[in-house]
Amino acid sequence: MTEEQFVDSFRKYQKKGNWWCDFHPVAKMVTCLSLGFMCLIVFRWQVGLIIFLLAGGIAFLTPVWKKYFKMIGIMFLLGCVFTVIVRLYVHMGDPGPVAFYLFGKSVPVAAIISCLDLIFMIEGFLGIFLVFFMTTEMRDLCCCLEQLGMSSTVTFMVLSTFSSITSIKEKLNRVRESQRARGIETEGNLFVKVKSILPVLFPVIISSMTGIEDKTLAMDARAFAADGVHTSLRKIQPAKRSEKTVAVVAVIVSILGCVAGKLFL
Amino acid sequence: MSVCIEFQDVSYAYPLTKKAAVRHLNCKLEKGKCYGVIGPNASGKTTFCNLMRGLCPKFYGGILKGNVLVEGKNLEEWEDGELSVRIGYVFQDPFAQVSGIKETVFEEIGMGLENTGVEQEEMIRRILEIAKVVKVDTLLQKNPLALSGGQCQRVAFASVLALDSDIIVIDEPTSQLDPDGTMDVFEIIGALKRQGKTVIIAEHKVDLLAEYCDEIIAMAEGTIIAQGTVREVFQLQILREKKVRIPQVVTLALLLEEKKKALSSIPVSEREAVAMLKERGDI
Repeated sequence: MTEEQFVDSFRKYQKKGNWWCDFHPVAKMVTCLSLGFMCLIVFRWQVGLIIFLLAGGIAFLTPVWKKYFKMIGIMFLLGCVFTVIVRLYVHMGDPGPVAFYLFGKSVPVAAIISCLDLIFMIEGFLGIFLVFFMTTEMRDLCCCLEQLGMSSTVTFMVLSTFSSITSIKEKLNRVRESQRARGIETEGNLFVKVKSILPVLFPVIISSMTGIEDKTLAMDARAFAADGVHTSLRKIQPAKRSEKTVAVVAVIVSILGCVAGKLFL
Repeated sequence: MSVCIEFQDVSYAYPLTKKAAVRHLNCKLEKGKCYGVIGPNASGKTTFCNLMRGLCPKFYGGILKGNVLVEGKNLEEWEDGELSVRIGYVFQDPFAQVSGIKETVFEEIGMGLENTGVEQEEMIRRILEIAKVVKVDTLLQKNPLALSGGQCQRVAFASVLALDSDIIVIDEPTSQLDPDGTMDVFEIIGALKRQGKTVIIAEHKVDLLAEYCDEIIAMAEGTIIAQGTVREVFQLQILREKKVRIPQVVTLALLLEEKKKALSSIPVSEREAVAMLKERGDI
């Protein structure tokens, strides 16, 4: 991009050319939050599965679908294994209709349903939040929240928390590169990677925390405490009527879903 | 020229310390002048800078005695936000000055302007203007976290200069820079001076300070031991007694004086020394 095009891009609304990625950040957050919390509150596999599939469907229509399915796939596998082991261990031998026998002990149907409830509650919740975080720029969300009256200190805290994750990741990579240069094995299977990261993880996190004082001073030097309304260099298109409608519908569906789920499922 | 910052018998001790970091500071800084603050390590240079910027005691805590007046108003009377716009501060560590929440240098420079509520078009104009002055116009699309030390320091300068503060305090800006980066920083200081800004720079590179500053404030053991024009201060015996670094050309001139081969006056820059030696026919 030439300098002129780059500067001009700030004069226009920030767009990515995908309906979901360009969905108004706050409307998107409200939609995802309500659906995600419906999963948690109802705590039934039917609701969780619907949200999980919905999140997958949305992700499929965005450019991040490959990354999304890779991540949610890993989470699903880990979640399944963990939940099945824990639930079956806890409920094995319980009274009630038997689904099958394992190591000579009965596994009741209730344990299987309980497993499914937990798996899809977690996966539905994670799925919808993952699709939200992977398709939303935090700076745009914070900018919109600030325009809605949220304190700039809070939005800064949110942004710096997210950026510190990236910064820790970058620092870790740098340390690993230095280790590699010194002949320490850092590439290979998961065990080798974990072995190379663990000894430096704690110092890297601590060093990131000690930089907080410097960051505070840097923010002060940028007049962060100045009175008045903050403006923004990035232009975010105000929420369209359709986007607001989607958010409101999501809230209503979630409330009704919670009530119906609790009564009938 | 009118006084913009005044120290009236200022002493300050950091929290949990018994010994004051600076004691009985008395000085007046005039508008539009460039001041170099020199002294050995732990002489109180950074505390002196922090005091005029209001970070001591507001941010660090501790005990402050005496008065620091900024444009005639006591530090305590200034709102934090107001003071951060009036006095720009560039810190020692270039990497610590990157906010970490902006994805491009362009946005990083504009952050202060966003905080002060500047409209978008004006913001873009000022960012582009400042970026040219501090030579970061080729870095605008880069991620601030991926810059080198010198580039980072220049971006930090740009971010502070974008606020158009009248007074700029700079604390050892070249301590982590290579010679080219150092020269870039002093070129920016030269540009600020030409714009009529008041610049206060704490630095160890006395040769460059001698060239760029109007006045020198020499500190040792937490007190101001000398203040005056570059030529006046660097010839003082007390600087050598207190182990305050002086420019090489001044040392040379003093050595020549000892050998009864004194120059017509004490030079403060290489250029001046060369001219004097040429005049005498030594080179």
